[in-house]
Amino acid sequence: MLHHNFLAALRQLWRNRLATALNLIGLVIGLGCFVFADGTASWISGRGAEALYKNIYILSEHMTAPGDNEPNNPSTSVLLAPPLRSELPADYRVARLLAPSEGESGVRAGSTKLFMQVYYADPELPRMFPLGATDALTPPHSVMLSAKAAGLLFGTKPAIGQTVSIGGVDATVTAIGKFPASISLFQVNGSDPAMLASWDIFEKLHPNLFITSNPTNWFNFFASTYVAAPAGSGETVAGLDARLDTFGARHVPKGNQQAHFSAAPGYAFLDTMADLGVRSDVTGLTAGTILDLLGTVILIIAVANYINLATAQVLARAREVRIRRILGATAGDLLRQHAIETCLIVAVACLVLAALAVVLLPAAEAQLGDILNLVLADRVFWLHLTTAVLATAVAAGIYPALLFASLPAAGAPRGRRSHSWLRSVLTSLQFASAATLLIFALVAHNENIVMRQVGEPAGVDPVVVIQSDPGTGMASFRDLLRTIPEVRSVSFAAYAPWGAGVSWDLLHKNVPGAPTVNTVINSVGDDYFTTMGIKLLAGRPLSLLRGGDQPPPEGGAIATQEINVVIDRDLATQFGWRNPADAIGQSIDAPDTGTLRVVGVTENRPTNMIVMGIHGNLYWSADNQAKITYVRLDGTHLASGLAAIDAAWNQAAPLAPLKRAFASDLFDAAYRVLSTVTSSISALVIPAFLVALAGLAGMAIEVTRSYLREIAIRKMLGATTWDAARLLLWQFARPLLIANLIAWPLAFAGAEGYLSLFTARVALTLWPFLWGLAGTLAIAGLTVAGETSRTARSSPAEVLRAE
Amino acid sequence: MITLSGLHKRYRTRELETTALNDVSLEVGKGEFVAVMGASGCGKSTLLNIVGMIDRPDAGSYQFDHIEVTSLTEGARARLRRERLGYIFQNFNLLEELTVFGNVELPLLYRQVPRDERRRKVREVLELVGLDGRAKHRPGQLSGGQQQRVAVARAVVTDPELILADEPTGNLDSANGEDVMQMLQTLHEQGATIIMVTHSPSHAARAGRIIAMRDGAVVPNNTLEVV
Repeated sequence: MLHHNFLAALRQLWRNRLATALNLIGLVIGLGCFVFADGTASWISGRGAEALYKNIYILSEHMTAPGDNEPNNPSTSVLLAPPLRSELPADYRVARLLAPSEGESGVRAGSTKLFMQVYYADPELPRMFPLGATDALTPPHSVMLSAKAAGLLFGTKPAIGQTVSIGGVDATVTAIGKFPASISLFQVNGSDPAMLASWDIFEKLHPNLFITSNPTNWFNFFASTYVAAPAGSGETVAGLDARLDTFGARHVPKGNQQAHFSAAPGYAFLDTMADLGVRSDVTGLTAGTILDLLGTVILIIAVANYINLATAQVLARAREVRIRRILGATAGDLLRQHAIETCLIVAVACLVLAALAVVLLPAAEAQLGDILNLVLADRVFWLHLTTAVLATAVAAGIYPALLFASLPAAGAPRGRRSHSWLRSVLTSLQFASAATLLIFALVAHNENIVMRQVGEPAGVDPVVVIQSDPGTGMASFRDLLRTIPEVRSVSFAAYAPWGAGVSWDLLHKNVPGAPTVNTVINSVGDDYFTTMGIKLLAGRPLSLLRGGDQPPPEGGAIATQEINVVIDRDLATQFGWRNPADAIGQSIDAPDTGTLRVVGVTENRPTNMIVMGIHGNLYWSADNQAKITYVRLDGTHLASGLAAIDAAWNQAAPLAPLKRAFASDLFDAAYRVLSTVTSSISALVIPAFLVALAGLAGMAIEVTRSYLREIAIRKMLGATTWDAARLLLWQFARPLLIANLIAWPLAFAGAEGYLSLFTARVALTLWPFLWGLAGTLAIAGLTVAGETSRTARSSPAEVLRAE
Repeated sequence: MITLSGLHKRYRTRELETTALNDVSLEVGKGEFVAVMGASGCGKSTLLNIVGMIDRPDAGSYQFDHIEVTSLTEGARARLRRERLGYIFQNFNLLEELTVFGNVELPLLYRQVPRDERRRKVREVLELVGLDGRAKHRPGQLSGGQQQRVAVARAVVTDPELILADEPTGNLDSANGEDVMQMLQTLHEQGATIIMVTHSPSHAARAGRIIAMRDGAVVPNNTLEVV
């Protein structure tokens, strides 16, 4: 019977090639989107990285006083590795990996000076991980460069054998390394390494950290220490824990605290991109979860599409079912027959996807490299995919199969139109999902425009941001900048714009019971607003030198005097001062800092992107040692201005590399991740519509066919072709209007949630919703136009003669 | 073999109720050849559907070989259909997507007969109806008469005790119709019980008994024994 059912399924799919094709398109797109979404979720959440860490363990060190219970911290003192190495079996490997806490390091190669992400590692590390050169760090003072870093330092010259200088220590380039993809041990600070330097260089730069008799050095958890057990050793976390049980007591100098060590799987503390700006600590959702949800939505649209088309097909097979029932088929036989048809088409969809994957694999590998390998190594990804395929087959097939099995042996089945409610509901759901994504994409596009206006304001002189520290000569360097003719203004701040250094605080008006407001705090120098082109709306700007506006006290102390601050219009509104002038002279209480007094109000010009639940900006004075220098250049003399800045730097700090960038470039870099996320979501609009349209096309054929006789009779009674067309178009328009009624509240909620992430928000008007409705109707109208036109123009005499 | 007592059947739509059978009672003995005649809409096909267990009466009793069919589940009725009944229809009701062989084989598949035995039986009955050379043809490639012979082959491949024929010659010319009637007669002589609905008095005369129906009821005293 299985063989018969399989052949019957093949025949059925071939006989109804159009419906089969539409279903295949829908399922391939749905499953494909799910694969893409879950693959991306797998990558950013680091699931597949486990494969990199087979037999590799990461050690934790924690210091406890008797009775304390401290959580694991996946880092250790730099002193751990040497004594541990001597205690473990000879075939075990132990290696340290360290990324300096100050971020990028100054690197020089000849006359080229750059800031680069430099990691330090023991020689064993390249033997534990697939970096492309197992002995690269064995020679003393050796470095392994990424291909990009080699190009930046040496151009087209071969890099191997060349000398680089790190913090004044010379080293030889021994290899061009292949560092694992993101979400691996190297993603410590969220950036890929440019250079892996041998451990002895770090020891030379920081000799004091390696004095073993100094207990403090055991308390500084700078390094990640990895242990690799040989394959087949049967080593486990518990086994390593047992080995480390008394290690602290035997090797660490005794003090008020005890050192304890423990092991965890190597992938246990990976720095993933799971949050990616969605504030999972607040929302409870990670970016991976959101991606999986979106992929599932597209798949559900595809399943709804299949149910729609398959149900229509079932009703057209009433005669076949009647014959089979008469010949002795039970409901179970018919259920099995139809289930095999569904399984067959889902299997074909999977084959089509697999074929596409094979065709696209070389290009994908070239673009994604190790990321693809990480995803393919992720068992959870395959589990999700298998579950999705099985769930698709069951969800898509169950209703049509039950309907098929329920068709009567005698009497007419309920007609096609009696299932029109289901068809309308399913079509509405499909288009509701697509319309929701379309409206969201329109809102995201408008928000992009607003953010670009904030990040790259037109008609404003460019601002250069210098993130290098010339050392003790910071004030004199800034004074030197002010002498450059092309420089219009110089200021400074604690953080670079559009970067990670955002802080916020809870404030409230200095009245009892006032509500708190969470806002961004900016420590800025004199002339900051002039330099950044931020317009003052009321009051005066801050000035440490001229106005005596003191910065808040350091070290967590509460100020004894009021601190003068400037706030932006957004924050003024939050405090109820709709007119900026009303804010001047008002007091704000900052519980951890003291009382703040508003001396000025500016326009809204945030320099941070995503700060969920936080409103506006507050500025207070920074002292001259704040690390980031801002320079506003004359836009008509850009090249000479930049050259003058470089010359001033070389004068102030001849050996240190200069790190400068345009503020608009920093915005682009920061926005790239977010715009990629919003582009990905917007890109899902296309497959969502394609699937929904495939279903609508199938529905168009069924609907027009079922109305053929009625239209013939209506025309006989005097209806025109346009009357017939309107009747048909209303059948299609009705589910689409319902779709938009469903989509609007969903899209509104999604858009509000999305916009709440941003510090500069576009106003959420009715227009994206109206455009979404118009777009849905227009696209759907084009799809059904052909069938509608053909049916509306049919000859009543021919139709009735055929009937 | 068949005992019908007080059968009632109504078809209801939102606006209309139609009585298809009104208190029909009759008996058909094992091995009988019974013809049912009457005007269009008198309930002949409804009666045949109920006897064939593909429809349920609204009221009344139907016993098939002392089994009360009205109380059986759909699964049990399907089992009875495939094991003991055969059907022949006016419009043949062959599945277009299957070959002649596939159509005749279908009832055996539902009975889960092993493959070799299935093939043997199908070849046997196709030879019986003279279509062994057309096994791989599809219904659309056959004439009306040939299609009906395929339908006959399908009806008898399971060796049914009861054969129901709903106007089996209705769509055939006289020559082909005669062929089909000849086959039915042969089956009857081999022991099958046959109930045939027909409009043709000459074909009805080939039966052992004629039952007349009018307005959903059996016309009393119009059951003629044909000698």
